[in-house]
Amino acid sequence: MGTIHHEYMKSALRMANLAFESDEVPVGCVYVHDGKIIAEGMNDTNRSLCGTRHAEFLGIETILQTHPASIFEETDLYVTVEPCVMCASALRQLKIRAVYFGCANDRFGGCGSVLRVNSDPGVERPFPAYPGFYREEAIMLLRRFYLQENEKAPTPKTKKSRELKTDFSPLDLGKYVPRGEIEKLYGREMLDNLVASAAAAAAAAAAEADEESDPSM
Amino acid sequence: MPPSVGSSRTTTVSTGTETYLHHKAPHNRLHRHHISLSSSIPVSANTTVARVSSVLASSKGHQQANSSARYFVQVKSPHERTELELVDVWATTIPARMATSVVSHLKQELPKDPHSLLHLRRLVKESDVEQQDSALRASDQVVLNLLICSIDAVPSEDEIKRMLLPMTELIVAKMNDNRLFVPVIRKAPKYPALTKQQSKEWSDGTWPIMWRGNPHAIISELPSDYEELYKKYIDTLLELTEKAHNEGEMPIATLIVDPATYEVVASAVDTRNSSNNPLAHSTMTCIAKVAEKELWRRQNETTAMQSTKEPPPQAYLCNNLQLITTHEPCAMCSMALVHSRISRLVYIKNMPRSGGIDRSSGPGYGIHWNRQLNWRFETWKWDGQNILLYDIDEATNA
Repeated sequence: MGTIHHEYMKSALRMANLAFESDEVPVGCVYVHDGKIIAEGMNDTNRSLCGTRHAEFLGIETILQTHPASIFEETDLYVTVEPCVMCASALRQLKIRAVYFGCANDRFGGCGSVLRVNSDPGVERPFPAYPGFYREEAIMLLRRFYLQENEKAPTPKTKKSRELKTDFSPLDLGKYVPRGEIEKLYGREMLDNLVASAAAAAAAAAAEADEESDPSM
Repeated sequence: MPPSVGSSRTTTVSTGTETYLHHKAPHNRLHRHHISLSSSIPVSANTTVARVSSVLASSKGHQQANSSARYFVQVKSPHERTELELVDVWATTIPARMATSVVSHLKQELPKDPHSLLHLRRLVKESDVEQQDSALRASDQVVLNLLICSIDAVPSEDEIKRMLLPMTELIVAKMNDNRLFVPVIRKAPKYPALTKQQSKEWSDGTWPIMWRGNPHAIISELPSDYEELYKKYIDTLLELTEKAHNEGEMPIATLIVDPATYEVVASAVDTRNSSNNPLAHSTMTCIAKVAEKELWRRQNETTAMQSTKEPPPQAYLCNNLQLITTHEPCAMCSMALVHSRISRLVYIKNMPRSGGIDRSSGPGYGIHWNRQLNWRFETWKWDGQNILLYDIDEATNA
């Protein structure tokens, strides 16, 4: 793997790591305009006590300090976790050009997982949202975070919740991206992986639910 | 009857006050509220907004004649189910004293259930389901009905029997109830009920639902003292929108209130024009203000009192608070209310193209009552007449 998108996602992951070290749910993002990172963001809900201080919003505020809102029309977002319904709506209202994300957000995702705020009929133009860039890294950060949270919890949890899982259920890329766009975006390798994992998914239909979700993303 | 803005307004407020006092308001609070409302509302002939209190005035007589007059209607979600749907489940009868071991044994044996049965009671006393055999009840051999799993999880009866087999060997000899550990098929409500009443109705003749006493469960009618209270808050909102309009902002305003103390915890108007931030919606700002206020309080309290008790790291600050706003929130703001765990939303006007709540707005998200999201809140919309909000473009995200 090594598209330009992966390069930007590395920067987003660095922000997610920073969030992790700050005791925030590890989600990070960068905004890219004309090939340059113009803003970074990390989750800030615990420090601020405000459930809406998601990584995306911190980056948006940074940009608006020095740019008119119209810059978003030519700006892409790289975020480690699928934007939630709130962030997806915010990004659409800003007319963001495209969103690239790491793992899906099964509980709150607004770009295909729970709702399709990015592509439903609406007032502003829709935006494409592409999953799967350093997905496993994004998931592992979240798992490590919750493991640590469980260990801190006053009431002991079951043993199962204290183990760090390292397996990944396959990503249903077709749920988010039109098939014709996959190879161009992700490269041949990713397409082959997708075909393989789709077959695996069919075989393991009853596989346990993935944990790509969290109350404060 | 058209509202008469003038002397009737004063009458109204005091009438409202009496009702309100009678219900629950502490005298001093209410008095203050009453005074501030009366003194801060300028009654001018050219004002573009009609006061809600005057609406109240005009219809008070009517309301007395017909006490069921309501100003707010509940906004229900497209996801709300009103019909009972059933799912076939395996159940059996077990000795009460074996309940714990049977449940933990089955937990190891059973596959993941394709149906979430978490809303159903796992163990049910006989009398809850059907009349308990009197002889059995007289003896000390208490039995329980156990919900095993859905038929879809384990279609084979033999498989269920195999799972139960090790348990049957543990039955003490004197228990001769021939239903013990025999799997039977029962019908159970497929989805959680939305209200306590619905829970009761759905449980009748099926498998009982576990009602967890959700304080945010839908109620069918807004209590009348809340109606009075919200009308006063709406007056405040109308003042705020008027001010916003005069200052070149979008005339959209929001309050977050504490229903326990009647305190307005935060208020905000839309500032997208002056801030050059298209996301500076009044709901977002109001939520942020509540957090800032609490953050400030905690920081000052900690330094002043050297408090040793740390606040929980993830407190959901709007839990038990209510949000009153002029326009149906957009999807962003609606989801922000989910993230903030607001307990109730009250608004005046639908936003048919951009709203995130009403099933007829936008793509019909019904974010306040979406089964897949982890928080739900009641929503009430003004249904009374005569509140004239400033016109805003219907494509606006409020």
